[in-house]
Amino acid sequence: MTPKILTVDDSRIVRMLITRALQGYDCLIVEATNGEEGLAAALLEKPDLILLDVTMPVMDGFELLARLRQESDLAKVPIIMLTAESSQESVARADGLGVSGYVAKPFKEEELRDRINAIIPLSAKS
Amino acid sequence: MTPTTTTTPILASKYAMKPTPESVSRLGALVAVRGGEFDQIAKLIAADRALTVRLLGDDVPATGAADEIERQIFRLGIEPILVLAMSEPLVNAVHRTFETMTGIALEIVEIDETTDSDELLFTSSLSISGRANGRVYLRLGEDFNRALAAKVLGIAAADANAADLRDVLAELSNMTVGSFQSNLCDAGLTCKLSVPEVSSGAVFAPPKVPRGRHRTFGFRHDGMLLLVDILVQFAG
Repeated sequence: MTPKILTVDDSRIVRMLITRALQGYDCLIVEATNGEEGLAAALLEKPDLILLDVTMPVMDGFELLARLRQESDLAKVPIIMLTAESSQESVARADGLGVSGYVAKPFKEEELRDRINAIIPLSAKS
Repeated sequence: MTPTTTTTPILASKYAMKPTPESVSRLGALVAVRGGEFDQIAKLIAADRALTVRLLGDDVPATGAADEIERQIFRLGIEPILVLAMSEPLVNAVHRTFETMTGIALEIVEIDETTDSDELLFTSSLSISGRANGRVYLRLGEDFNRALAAKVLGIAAADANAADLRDVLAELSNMTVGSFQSNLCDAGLTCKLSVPEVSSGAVFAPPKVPRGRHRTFGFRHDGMLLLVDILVQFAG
């Protein structure tokens, strides 16, 4: 089955970079632009992996992360933080909420793809 | 919550993240003794030749520098010294962001009052608030903004529209300042970052902030100029 990846980031540039990093691989990308949209999309789409920014309007990434962990259907979904907030405190906070990965911006597309691939193996499109 | 020093390297290793840079550790040491004795601060600075040169100039002898630094701190106060110590993390964040996201290796250039910045009409600003309050500004001209948008988006420079210019500059600012702000947090100056605001068309003038400290850093690529300004005020 085609893996579904939810990206939650208010920057269209970052969402575009993620899509570009994954083009050529068999996966479905769903986009949300803030934590509130991200929660709604996660509940509806039941993604296999979530890429999550921290600083966003409406609801930030940490609040969304905490909310996702309270949802029985989503509590175990792997989450990779993709954020410019890379302080030791932020990493420790995300770790405490059970994230599967932490990628600091700026990032290389190959690096992000490798981190995703380590969690949900991606197949090249035929 | 501040993580303990024993868990930090483990987490950095767990998530394959880079260790805390030396310049950030030094800033942290300065922050930690900020309310302490001037001689302690002077010794910390004197142990770093680059920082000593930035404060006192090239011709300062290695021996006796601590005494001269102590006199400078007495004269200027500690806040300009902290802003000086922020220089390296900020400059490193600019280099890392632009090189990673655009492949452009920026050359650092001296900035003085003769530097013509009138054509730098695209400004992105982010505020930081907490123990360090202030703003960081990135200023550049349309040619450079267009070249960066082309690199990031993989399009021809001429094809970048107004939204491309604005969004790419906002994201490069966010990454640069986010990385820098994380360094400030790791140095003990816990602070939060705002969403970037991009404006165009107005010549930049730093706002007047009581006891605010302002520094400008210049970078060049292919004849195009980028100026990065930091305006900072320290809370208690």
